[in-house]
Amino acid sequence: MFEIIEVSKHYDGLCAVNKVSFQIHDKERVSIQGESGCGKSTLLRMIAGLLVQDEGEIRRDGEILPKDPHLRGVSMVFQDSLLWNHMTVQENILFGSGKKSRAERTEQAEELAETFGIKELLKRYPNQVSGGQARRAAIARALACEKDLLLLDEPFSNLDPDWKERTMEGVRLKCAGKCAILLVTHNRNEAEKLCNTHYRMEEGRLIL
Amino acid sequence: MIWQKFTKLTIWKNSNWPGLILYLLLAFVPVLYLSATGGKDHLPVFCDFSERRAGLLYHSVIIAFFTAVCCVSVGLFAAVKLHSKKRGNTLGRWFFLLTAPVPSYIYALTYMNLVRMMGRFIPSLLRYRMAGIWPCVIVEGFAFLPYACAAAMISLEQVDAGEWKAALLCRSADRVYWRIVFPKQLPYLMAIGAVIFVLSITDYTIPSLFQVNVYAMEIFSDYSAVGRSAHSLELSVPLLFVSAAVILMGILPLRNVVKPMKDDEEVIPQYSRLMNVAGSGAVLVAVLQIILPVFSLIPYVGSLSGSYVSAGEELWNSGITGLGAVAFVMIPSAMMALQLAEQKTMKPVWLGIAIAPLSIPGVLTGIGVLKFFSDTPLHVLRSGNIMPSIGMAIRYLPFAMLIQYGCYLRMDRNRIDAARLLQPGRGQAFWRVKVFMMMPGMAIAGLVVFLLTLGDVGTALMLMPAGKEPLSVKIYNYLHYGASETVAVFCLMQMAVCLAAVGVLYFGTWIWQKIHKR
Repeated sequence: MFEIIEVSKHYDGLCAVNKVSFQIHDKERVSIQGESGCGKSTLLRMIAGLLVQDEGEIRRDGEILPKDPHLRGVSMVFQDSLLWNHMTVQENILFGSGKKSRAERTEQAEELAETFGIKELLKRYPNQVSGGQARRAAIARALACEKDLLLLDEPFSNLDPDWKERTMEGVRLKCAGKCAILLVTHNRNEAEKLCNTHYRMEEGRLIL
Repeated sequence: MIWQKFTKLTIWKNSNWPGLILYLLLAFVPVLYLSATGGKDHLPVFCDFSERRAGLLYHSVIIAFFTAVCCVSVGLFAAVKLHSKKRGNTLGRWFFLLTAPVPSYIYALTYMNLVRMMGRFIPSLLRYRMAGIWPCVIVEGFAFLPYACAAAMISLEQVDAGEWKAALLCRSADRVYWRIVFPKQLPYLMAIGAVIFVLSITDYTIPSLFQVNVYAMEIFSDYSAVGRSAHSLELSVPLLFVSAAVILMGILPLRNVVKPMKDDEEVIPQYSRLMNVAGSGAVLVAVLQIILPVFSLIPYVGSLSGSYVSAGEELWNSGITGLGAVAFVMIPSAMMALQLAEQKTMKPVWLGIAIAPLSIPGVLTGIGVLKFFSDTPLHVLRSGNIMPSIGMAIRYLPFAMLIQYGCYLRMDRNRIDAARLLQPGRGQAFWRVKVFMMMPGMAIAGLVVFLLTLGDVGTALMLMPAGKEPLSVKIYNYLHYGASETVAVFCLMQMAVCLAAVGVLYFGTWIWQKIHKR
C-alpha cells in the first residue's frame, strides 16, 4: 500500500500541492481529476521521486520511499511520450524490464506491442512513428517495468477514440491483479472507465 | 558552522562535483600557481601601470571593441536577411560557417596580399593600410564574423514562431523585428560580442603583424625579456579586469534564455527596403569572408604536396596537440556544464566562476602552465606534446564548457527524468540515455577546441618544446619575414586540416543518423 501523507509543494510562494493525503491499496485503480494547473502532475512527479515535496511523506507499506526514483517501485507514463530517439521502439519498451533472458525480453516486448497495436513498429525509431503510436509505445514501456504502481499522466490525451478504448482496455488487462494504477486526467469518462476510486483536485487540494 | 553550511550546499549532492572540482582546478591553475609562487620580489600591481601601458590597453580595448561591434552588427543583419528567405536548402543558410575554422592569420595574409595588389594602382594604400588599428579590426572582424552570424541565426531560431506570426498580423515586419524579436536576440548577441571581445583583446598575434602594440604583447615581451612569471601575472591584471568584466556582463544574461528546441515552424517576414539593403550588405560581407581567403590561396594549391615535406612535422605536432587538448578537455568541461545546467541555487555565481577563466589571456595561461610543469615533477613531460596539449586544454576549457552548457540547456529534461524513473539499475539512465543526449554538445565542443588549438599562436609560443613547433607558429614566424608564397601554402595546409576535421564530424553525424535512421 502506498500512503501519501500531508504532501505539499510550493513554487515561488505559490502552493501547487497543498497538504494532500490519500492511500493507494495494492492493485487498486485510483483516478485524480481536475483542471489543468491544479497540481495533478506535480503530485505524480513527487510520488515518482522526480520532485521532492516541501512537506509531508510518501510511504510504502509503512516505510518512507527511497529518494532514488528507480527504487520506489513506481513506473510512469508522462504527458508527452518521451521516447528516446536513439533507441528503437523495442529498445525503448525493454529499457526498464528487469533481469530476464534475451528470449524472455523479446517475448515480453512482442506481447506488449501486440496488445497496443505497435508490433510492426518494434524495429522503427521514435521519429518514424506517429504521435499516437509513440504514446502507445510509452505506455508499453511503463508496463514492461512491472512495478507495483503505474502512474498515468493524461496518457490517452492524443489517441483517436478507437485506439483510446483499446489502449485503456490493454492497460486494464495488463495491470489486472499485478499492479495498482494512479490515473491523472481532466477527462471524466477515462477516469470512470479505468478506475474504481475517484478523487478530485482543485487548487492543489484533494477532494474525495 | 561555516563548514556545515559549505557541506550542505546543493552542489555536493550532485554526482558531477568531482568533475566540477577538476574543472576549477584546471581552469584556474595557471593564475593560482603564479599567484602562489610569486614571492615578494616584484612591485605591487598597479605601480607598473605606466602611461605607455595605459596606451597599450587603450589600443587593445579599441581593437577588441570595434571587432566585436562590427562582427555583431554584420552578423545581425546577415542573419535577418538569411532568415527572411524561404527555407529551401537549410544547409545553404549556414554557408558563412564554411570558413569558421580558418585561423585569423590566414585572413591577415589575404588582407596583405589584397592591399599589395591594390597598392600597384593606388600606392598610398601601401603606406596607410599595411599597419595600424583598422587593419587589425578588419582582419579579426573577418575571422570572427562566422561566430557572430551563427549566434545571430541561432538566436533568431529560438524566437517562438507563433509569437512572431501573431505580431506580424498587427505591425510591419521591421517594427515587429525591433520591438519583439531583437530584445529576445539581445542576450545571445551580447554573449557572442563578449566572447569576440575577449578573443580579440587577449590576442597579440594579429596586432603584431600590423605593427600595433597591444597589452597582451606587452605581457609576452615582458616575460620573454625578464622571465619573471609572477610579474607577468601582475602585469596582466588590468587586462584580466577588463575582459572578466566584459565576459560577466555579456554572458550572464544568457543563463535564463536558452530554451529547448521548438518544432521547425517557418516565419518569412517582409522587411522594408532599408532593412533589406542592410541585410544584403551584411550577407555580401559574409560571402567575402569566404571568397577572399579561398581565392587568395587557390593559386598555391599546386604546391601543396611539395610543401608537406617542409611542414609535415609541424602539421603532425599541431594535430597531436589538438587531439590531446580535446582528450583532456572533455570530461571536466562536460561535467561542469552538466552541473551548471542542473544547478538550482546560486546559478549566476557558479556560471560566473565557470566563465571567468575565459578572460585569462592565452599568454598568461602559457606562462602559468610552463612554470607549473617546470617547478614540479611534471617537468619530465616538458619535451613532448603532453604539456602543450594540457596548456591548450586549460586555455580552451571554458569555451568547451560554454558550448556544452548551451547544448545541455536545450536537452529535454523530461526524457532524462523518464530514464531515471524507468531504469532497471543505477547508472543505466546515464549510460544508455543521458550520454547519447550529451553527444552532440560534446562533439561540437571537441571540434571547436581542436580548431582553436590548431589555430592558436599565443599559448603555443609559450609552451612548444624545442623541435615540436606547431604549424600555426611556423606560419606566424614566416608571416613576419614576409614570405607570402610559403605562408600561403602553409595556410592552405592548415585550412585543409581544419576543414577535414569539420568533415570528419559531419561524416560521423551522417553515419550516426544512417545507423539510427533519423
